[in-house]
Amino acid sequence: MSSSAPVVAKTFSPPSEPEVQPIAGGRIDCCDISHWFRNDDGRTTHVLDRVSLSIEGHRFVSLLGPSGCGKTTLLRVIHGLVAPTKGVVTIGNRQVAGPGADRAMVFQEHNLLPWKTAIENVLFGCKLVGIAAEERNRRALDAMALMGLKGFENHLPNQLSGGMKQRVGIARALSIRPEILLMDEPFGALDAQTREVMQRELLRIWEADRKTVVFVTHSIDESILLSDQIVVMGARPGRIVATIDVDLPRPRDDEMRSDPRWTMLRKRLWQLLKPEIIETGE
Amino acid sequence: MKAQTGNTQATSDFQPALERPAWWASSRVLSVLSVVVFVTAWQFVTSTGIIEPIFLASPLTIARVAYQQFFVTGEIYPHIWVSLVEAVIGFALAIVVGVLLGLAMGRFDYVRHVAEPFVMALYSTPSVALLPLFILWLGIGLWSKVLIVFLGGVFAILVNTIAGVRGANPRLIETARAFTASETEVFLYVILPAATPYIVAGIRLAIGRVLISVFVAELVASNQGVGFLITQAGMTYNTALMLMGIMLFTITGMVLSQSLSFVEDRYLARFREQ
Repeated sequence: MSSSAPVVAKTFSPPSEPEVQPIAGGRIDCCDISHWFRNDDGRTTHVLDRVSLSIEGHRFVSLLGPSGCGKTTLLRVIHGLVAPTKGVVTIGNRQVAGPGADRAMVFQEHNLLPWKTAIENVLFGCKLVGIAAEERNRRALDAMALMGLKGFENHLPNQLSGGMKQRVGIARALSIRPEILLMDEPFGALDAQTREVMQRELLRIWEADRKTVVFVTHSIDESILLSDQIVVMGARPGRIVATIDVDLPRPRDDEMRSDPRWTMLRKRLWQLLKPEIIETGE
Repeated sequence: MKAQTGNTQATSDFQPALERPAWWASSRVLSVLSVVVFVTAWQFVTSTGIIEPIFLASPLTIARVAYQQFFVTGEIYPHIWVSLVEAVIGFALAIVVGVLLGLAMGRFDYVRHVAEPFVMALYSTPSVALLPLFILWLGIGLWSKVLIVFLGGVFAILVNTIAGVRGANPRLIETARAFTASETEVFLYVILPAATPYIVAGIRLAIGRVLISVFVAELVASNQGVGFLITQAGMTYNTALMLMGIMLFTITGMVLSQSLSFVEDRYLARFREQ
């Protein structure tokens, strides 16, 4: 899977079975997305400026950029939580008009309901997307086992560590069996060690069934470790600076940090990011 | 209130060698002790005549009066019944209206904007000042008092409910939406549970106001009720009976608010953000 397929718009993805929801392998097309809003003082903030992006199904794609580059907003637009001022997102061949059960979001904060136990939180996600009760149970237990949460089903969120909470957040997203997993800096709030463990876990899970993943991060190394493709974004207004394929074999691990390809990639990404970071004064 | 203290020892590692006995650290023991000391002192100053009985009846006299009232003559029961009916109906109305209106005002801006001027006006008006008006409308019977009790209790519940609804974590709301929750589902599964501890706290605050309202309403116009009994006893210099009536209010208020505190600690702690 080290192919560096071009990201320009393709013609058609193969049609899925008609009785299933019309999703074609989790392919995402963002077409000319612009988003802005008016501030209280009357000025307009441009969050995204004519962003076009095609993400093929079953790929792990990172949106990499400094804060304020609109990467989170782009993720929310793909999810349907934010309606862009202009532009269209299509998933497969369907236009995104709001959140859907084919996409699941993992947030930076775990965002678990504090009054529900770990498993109840996972079940809650399933319930909302309309999965039948007995199926819900099976899926929740599966997803929790996958995330190494066996034995923690009945813990309340505040009885769990930060890493465990985020595992529940990921289990909640996986349990609805989405075509596309959207992750908004999911490990950003974790300490360095936990973060590395979680990255490895995510790789393990992803390599098992290769959903489409869009992963927002501002860490260059994290994006290299995880992605097939890195979309580098710049700030003010948010736009795509470059799209870079990651030419490293899978399965990956931390050992590869010393791989010359990693080092080269890192250097290149840094050169692309540097002017953007300096511009935003960070 | 404090969590269950039991007989946990709160001695830290840095405590000097001079050890205090274990019961010293238990707040319950200290509380009981302080009450016992107080009542004993009270009995002492009243029975020795340091304070004359017309100003302060001794605890034993009050107990004797209470015994008479409850178990011999039974005169107290009609008074309790009247006050209880006023309190229960008024309080129930306050809870229903306070919670429902509060949910609506917290959830929908237009409802809040429409209702707010009236709520503010009523909140700022001492509700007892409206009693003459209510008596004009409803007579001096039950319903004018119910209305006062209702007004006394409703605002604490209303204000807390609004705060609870508006204080629901927007990130949790967004998460529910991300999982395709409808507005109704967001309300039922996220906002309502998040507001629950606020609502219960509002109800607990309202208890005191409800009791005040019962008393004041009966003070102004009535011929029955515990508040009336207290007033009557005061006017006839029956200090022991008066104090017994006051204690009925005290005990009712304490029992109700302590039980709600217990419910809050026991069942609602998890609804708060950590």
